[in-house]
Amino acid sequence: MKHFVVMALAFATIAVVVACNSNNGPTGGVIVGALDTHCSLPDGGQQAQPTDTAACHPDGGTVTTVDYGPTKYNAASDDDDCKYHVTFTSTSVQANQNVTFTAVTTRKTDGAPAAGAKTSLEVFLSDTHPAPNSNQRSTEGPAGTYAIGPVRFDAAGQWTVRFHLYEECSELLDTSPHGHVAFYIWVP
Amino acid sequence: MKLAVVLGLIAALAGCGSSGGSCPSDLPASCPSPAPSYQSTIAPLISAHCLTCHSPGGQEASFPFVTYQQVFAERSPMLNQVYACHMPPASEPQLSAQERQELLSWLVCGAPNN
Repeated sequence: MKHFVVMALAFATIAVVVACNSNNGPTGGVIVGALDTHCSLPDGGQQAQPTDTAACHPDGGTVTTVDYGPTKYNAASDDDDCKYHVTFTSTSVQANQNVTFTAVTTRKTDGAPAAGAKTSLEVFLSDTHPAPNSNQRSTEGPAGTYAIGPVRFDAAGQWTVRFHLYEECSELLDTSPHGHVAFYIWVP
Repeated sequence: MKLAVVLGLIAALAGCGSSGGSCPSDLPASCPSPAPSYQSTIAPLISAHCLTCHSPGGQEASFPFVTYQQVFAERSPMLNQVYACHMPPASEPQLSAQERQELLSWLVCGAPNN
Protein backbone atom coordinates (compact mmCIF):
# COMPACT_ATOMS: atom_id res chain seq x y z
CA MET A 1 0.00 0.00 0.00
CA LYS A 2 2.80 2.39 0.93
CA HIS A 3 4.52 1.67 -2.36
CA PHE A 4 1.26 2.32 -4.20
CA VAL A 5 0.77 5.74 -2.55
CA VAL A 6 4.34 6.74 -3.33
CA MET A 7 3.86 5.76 -6.96
CA ALA A 8 0.60 7.73 -7.21
CA LEU A 9 2.22 10.81 -5.72
CA ALA A 10 5.16 10.49 -8.09
CA PHE A 11 2.87 10.30 -11.12
CA ALA A 12 0.86 13.25 -9.79
CA THR A 13 3.98 15.36 -9.44
CA ILE A 14 5.19 14.51 -12.93
CA ALA A 15 1.76 15.20 -14.41
CA VAL A 16 1.49 18.57 -12.65
CA VAL A 17 4.88 19.64 -13.94
CA VAL A 18 4.01 18.61 -17.49
CA ALA A 19 0.42 19.86 -17.53
CA CYS A 20 0.93 23.16 -15.74
CA ASN A 21 4.10 24.17 -17.55
CA SER A 22 3.15 23.35 -21.09
CA ASN A 23 3.87 26.88 -22.27
CA ASN A 24 3.77 26.35 -25.98
CA GLY A 25 2.67 29.23 -28.14
CA PRO A 26 3.51 32.91 -28.39
CA THR A 27 4.44 34.88 -25.33
CA GLY A 28 3.71 38.49 -24.49
CA GLY A 29 5.07 40.89 -21.93
CA VAL A 30 6.01 44.49 -21.48
CA ILE A 31 5.02 46.99 -24.15
CA VAL A 32 7.95 49.16 -25.10
CA GLY A 33 7.27 52.88 -25.42
CA ALA A 34 8.24 56.33 -24.28
CA LEU A 35 10.31 56.50 -21.12
CA ASP A 36 8.53 57.78 -18.04
CA THR A 37 9.65 61.28 -17.02
CA HIS A 38 6.72 62.50 -14.94
CA CYS A 39 8.91 62.99 -11.86
CA SER A 40 11.65 64.85 -13.72
CA LEU A 41 12.11 68.52 -12.88
CA PRO A 42 12.96 71.24 -15.41
CA ASP A 43 16.38 71.72 -13.80
CA GLY A 44 17.24 68.09 -14.39
CA GLY A 45 16.50 67.01 -10.85
CA GLN A 46 13.92 64.57 -9.63
CA GLN A 47 10.73 65.15 -7.68
CA ALA A 48 10.65 62.86 -4.65
CA GLN A 49 7.61 62.85 -2.38
CA PRO A 50 8.50 61.96 1.22
CA THR A 51 6.22 59.55 3.04
CA ASP A 52 5.42 59.14 6.71
CA THR A 53 3.99 56.06 8.37
CA ALA A 54 2.01 58.39 10.63
CA ALA A 55 0.04 59.36 7.51
CA CYS A 56 -1.13 55.77 7.02
CA HIS A 57 -4.25 56.18 9.15
CA PRO A 58 -4.49 59.90 9.88
CA ASP A 59 -7.02 61.58 12.11
CA GLY A 60 -7.47 64.47 9.74
CA GLY A 61 -5.66 66.96 7.58
CA THR A 62 -6.00 68.33 4.10
CA VAL A 63 -7.70 65.68 2.01
CA THR A 64 -6.30 65.10 -1.44
CA THR A 65 -8.39 63.63 -4.22
CA VAL A 66 -6.57 60.70 -5.72
CA ASP A 67 -6.18 60.31 -9.45
CA TYR A 68 -4.30 57.39 -10.89
CA GLY A 69 -1.59 58.45 -13.30
CA PRO A 70 -1.40 57.31 -16.90
CA THR A 71 -0.48 53.68 -17.51
CA LYS A 72 3.22 53.34 -18.32
CA TYR A 73 5.18 51.56 -21.01
CA ASN A 74 8.35 49.53 -20.39
CA ALA A 75 9.20 47.75 -17.14
CA ALA A 76 10.34 50.61 -14.93
CA SER A 77 8.78 53.84 -13.73
CA ASP A 78 8.30 56.10 -10.78
CA ASP A 79 4.95 55.69 -9.07
CA ASP A 80 2.12 58.13 -9.78
CA ASP A 81 3.03 60.44 -6.90
CA CYS A 82 6.84 60.21 -7.17
CA LYS A 83 7.21 58.33 -3.89
CA TYR A 84 8.80 55.15 -5.23
CA HIS A 85 10.65 53.73 -8.20
CA VAL A 86 9.38 50.37 -9.44
CA THR A 87 11.05 47.95 -11.83
CA PHE A 88 9.68 44.53 -12.60
CA THR A 89 10.14 41.28 -14.47
CA SER A 90 7.74 38.44 -15.00
CA THR A 91 7.60 34.80 -15.88
CA SER A 92 6.42 33.93 -19.38
CA VAL A 93 3.24 35.84 -20.23
CA GLN A 94 0.65 33.66 -21.93
CA ALA A 95 -3.12 33.59 -21.80
CA ASN A 96 -4.57 31.26 -19.16
CA GLN A 97 -1.19 30.48 -17.62
CA ASN A 98 -0.05 31.41 -14.15
CA VAL A 99 2.29 34.40 -14.29
CA THR A 100 4.42 35.69 -11.42
CA PHE A 101 5.68 39.26 -11.33
CA THR A 102 8.82 40.24 -9.44
CA ALA A 103 8.96 43.91 -8.47
CA VAL A 104 11.94 45.79 -7.07
CA THR A 105 10.76 48.88 -5.21
CA THR A 106 12.79 51.74 -3.77
CA ARG A 107 11.96 55.03 -2.11
CA LYS A 108 12.74 58.01 -4.30
CA THR A 109 13.80 60.16 -1.36
CA ASP A 110 16.81 58.04 -0.44
CA GLY A 111 16.89 54.99 -2.71
CA ALA A 112 16.25 52.63 0.17
CA PRO A 113 14.13 49.50 -0.43
CA ALA A 114 10.40 49.99 0.11
CA ALA A 115 10.35 47.30 2.76
CA GLY A 116 7.14 45.90 4.20
CA ALA A 117 5.04 47.35 1.39
CA LYS A 118 3.06 44.11 0.81
CA THR A 119 3.08 45.05 -2.87
CA SER A 120 0.02 43.72 -4.67
CA LEU A 121 -1.36 43.81 -8.19
CA GLU A 122 -4.58 45.13 -9.67
CA VAL A 123 -4.93 43.51 -13.09
CA PHE A 124 -7.54 44.30 -15.72
CA LEU A 125 -8.14 44.27 -19.46
CA SER A 126 -10.82 46.98 -19.43
CA ASP A 127 -13.13 48.83 -17.06
CA THR A 128 -15.43 45.82 -17.07
CA HIS A 129 -12.93 42.95 -17.34
CA PRO A 130 -10.66 42.26 -14.35
CA ALA A 131 -8.35 39.27 -14.24
CA PRO A 132 -9.89 36.14 -12.72
CA ASN A 133 -9.43 35.70 -9.01
CA SER A 134 -6.32 33.57 -8.56
CA ASN A 135 -5.49 33.66 -4.87
CA GLN A 136 -2.70 36.16 -5.49
CA ARG A 137 0.09 36.23 -2.91
CA SER A 138 2.97 38.64 -2.34
CA THR A 139 6.25 37.42 -0.90
CA GLU A 140 9.05 39.81 0.04
CA GLY A 141 12.72 38.94 -0.18
CA PRO A 142 15.16 40.59 -0.13
CA ALA A 143 13.77 43.80 1.37
CA GLY A 144 11.79 45.80 -1.19
CA THR A 145 11.66 42.93 -3.71
CA TYR A 146 8.31 41.21 -4.11
CA ALA A 147 7.24 38.09 -5.96
CA ILE A 148 3.53 38.48 -6.70
CA GLY A 149 1.28 35.90 -8.24
CA PRO A 150 -0.23 33.93 -9.64
CA VAL A 151 -1.85 36.24 -12.17
CA ARG A 152 -3.95 34.70 -14.94
CA PHE A 153 -4.73 36.69 -18.08
CA ASP A 154 -7.87 35.08 -19.46
CA ALA A 155 -7.93 36.85 -22.82
CA ALA A 156 -5.58 38.28 -25.39
CA GLY A 157 -5.05 42.02 -25.49
CA GLN A 158 -3.41 44.99 -23.88
CA TRP A 159 -3.79 44.54 -20.13
CA THR A 160 -3.05 46.94 -17.30
CA VAL A 161 -1.12 45.76 -14.24
CA ARG A 162 -1.16 48.27 -11.41
CA PHE A 163 1.30 47.78 -8.55
CA HIS A 164 0.08 48.96 -5.15
CA LEU A 165 2.54 49.57 -2.31
CA TYR A 166 1.34 49.90 1.28
CA GLU A 167 -2.22 49.53 0.02
CA GLU A 168 -3.55 49.19 3.56
CA CYS A 169 -2.77 52.87 4.08
CA SER A 170 -5.40 55.43 3.22
CA GLU A 171 -4.44 58.13 0.75
CA LEU A 172 -5.88 61.06 2.64
CA LEU A 173 -2.57 62.88 2.89
CA ASP A 174 0.16 63.58 0.37
CA THR A 175 2.64 61.88 2.70
CA SER A 176 0.68 58.62 2.81
CA PRO A 177 2.96 55.62 2.14
CA HIS A 178 0.36 54.22 -0.28
CA GLY A 179 1.80 54.32 -3.79
CA HIS A 180 0.69 52.93 -7.14
CA VAL A 181 1.89 52.69 -10.69
CA ALA A 182 0.40 50.86 -13.67
CA PHE A 183 2.07 49.27 -16.69
CA TYR A 184 0.79 47.86 -19.96
CA ILE A 185 1.25 44.14 -20.54
CA TRP A 186 0.58 42.51 -23.89
CA VAL A 187 -1.03 39.10 -23.88
CA PRO A 188 -1.08 37.29 -27.25
CA MET B 1 0.30 0.14 -11.05
CA LYS B 2 -2.45 1.30 -13.45
CA LEU B 3 -4.57 2.46 -10.55
CA ALA B 4 -1.65 4.47 -9.20
CA VAL B 5 -1.25 6.21 -12.57
CA VAL B 6 -4.97 7.00 -12.78
CA LEU B 7 -5.12 8.37 -9.25
CA GLY B 8 -2.00 10.38 -9.85
CA LEU B 9 -3.49 11.98 -12.97
CA ILE B 10 -6.74 12.76 -11.17
CA ALA B 11 -4.79 14.44 -8.37
CA ALA B 12 -2.77 16.40 -10.91
CA LEU B 13 -5.81 17.63 -12.81
CA ALA B 14 -7.47 18.65 -9.57
CA GLY B 15 -4.49 20.76 -8.59
CA CYS B 16 -3.63 22.35 -11.93
CA GLY B 17 -5.11 25.82 -12.33
CA SER B 18 -6.99 25.77 -9.08
CA SER B 19 -7.48 29.23 -7.60
CA GLY B 20 -7.53 27.79 -4.12
CA GLY B 21 -8.70 31.00 -2.46
CA SER B 22 -11.92 31.78 -0.67
CA CYS B 23 -12.75 34.70 -2.96
CA PRO B 24 -15.18 33.40 -5.59
CA SER B 25 -14.60 33.72 -9.33
CA ASP B 26 -18.15 34.88 -9.84
CA LEU B 27 -17.83 37.76 -12.26
CA PRO B 28 -20.95 37.90 -14.45
CA ALA B 29 -20.01 36.89 -17.97
CA SER B 30 -22.13 39.66 -19.43
CA CYS B 31 -24.44 42.47 -18.47
CA PRO B 32 -27.80 41.08 -17.34
CA SER B 33 -31.02 42.45 -18.73
CA PRO B 34 -32.29 44.51 -17.12
CA ALA B 35 -29.15 45.91 -15.53
CA PRO B 36 -29.36 46.51 -11.78
CA SER B 37 -30.66 49.98 -11.06
CA TYR B 38 -28.22 52.50 -9.65
CA GLN B 39 -30.97 54.53 -8.04
CA SER B 40 -32.94 51.75 -6.38
CA THR B 41 -30.31 49.06 -5.79
CA ILE B 42 -26.69 50.19 -6.11
CA ALA B 43 -26.82 53.60 -4.42
CA PRO B 44 -28.42 52.20 -1.23
CA LEU B 45 -25.90 49.34 -1.26
CA ILE B 46 -22.98 51.75 -1.55
CA SER B 47 -24.48 53.92 1.15
CA ALA B 48 -24.75 50.97 3.52
CA HIS B 49 -21.36 49.39 2.86
CA CYS B 50 -18.98 52.06 1.53
CA LEU B 51 -19.78 55.58 2.69
CA THR B 52 -18.46 55.21 6.22
CA CYS B 53 -14.98 55.41 4.71
CA HIS B 54 -15.61 56.74 1.18
CA SER B 55 -17.10 60.09 2.15
CA PRO B 56 -15.82 63.33 3.66
CA GLY B 57 -14.29 62.61 7.06
CA GLY B 58 -13.75 58.92 6.28
CA GLN B 59 -10.46 57.06 5.93
CA GLU B 60 -10.91 56.84 2.17
CA ALA B 61 -12.25 60.36 1.64
CA SER B 62 -9.80 60.73 -1.22
CA PHE B 63 -11.96 58.19 -3.10
CA PRO B 64 -15.45 59.57 -2.38
CA PHE B 65 -18.54 57.65 -3.48
CA VAL B 66 -21.17 60.19 -2.46
CA THR B 67 -22.46 61.11 -5.89
CA TYR B 68 -23.05 59.06 -9.01
CA GLN B 69 -20.32 60.99 -10.80
CA GLN B 70 -17.82 60.06 -8.09
CA VAL B 71 -18.80 56.40 -8.22
CA PHE B 72 -18.65 56.35 -12.02
CA ALA B 73 -15.15 57.85 -11.96
CA GLU B 74 -13.98 54.97 -9.75
CA ARG B 75 -15.96 52.19 -11.45
CA SER B 76 -12.89 50.31 -12.67
CA PRO B 77 -10.98 50.13 -9.35
CA MET B 78 -14.30 49.46 -7.60
CA LEU B 79 -14.88 46.43 -9.82
CA ASN B 80 -11.30 45.21 -9.34
CA GLN B 81 -11.33 45.68 -5.58
CA VAL B 82 -14.78 44.22 -4.93
CA TYR B 83 -14.29 41.29 -7.29
CA ALA B 84 -10.92 40.46 -5.69
CA CYS B 85 -12.58 40.60 -2.24
CA HIS B 86 -10.29 43.44 -1.16
CA MET B 87 -13.35 45.60 -0.53
CA PRO B 88 -15.14 45.91 1.77
CA PRO B 89 -12.16 45.32 4.09
CA ALA B 90 -12.25 42.11 6.09
CA SER B 91 -12.81 44.11 9.26
CA GLU B 92 -16.06 45.59 7.93
CA PRO B 93 -19.48 44.02 7.28
CA GLN B 94 -19.34 42.06 4.03
CA LEU B 95 -21.66 42.17 1.07
CA SER B 96 -24.20 39.39 0.95
CA ALA B 97 -23.94 37.05 -2.04
CA GLN B 98 -26.90 38.83 -3.63
CA GLU B 99 -25.46 42.29 -3.00
CA ARG B 100 -22.12 41.20 -4.44
CA GLN B 101 -23.78 39.89 -7.59
CA GLU B 102 -25.86 43.05 -7.98
CA LEU B 103 -22.84 45.33 -7.62
CA LEU B 104 -20.60 43.23 -9.89
CA SER B 105 -23.37 42.99 -12.49
CA TRP B 106 -23.93 46.75 -12.45
CA LEU B 107 -20.19 47.37 -12.85
CA VAL B 108 -19.95 44.85 -15.70
CA CYS B 109 -22.79 46.76 -17.35
CA GLY B 110 -20.57 49.84 -17.35
CA ALA B 111 -22.03 51.47 -14.23
CA PRO B 112 -25.08 53.09 -15.87
CA ASN B 113 -26.98 55.92 -14.20
CA ASN B 114 -30.28 54.08 -14.37
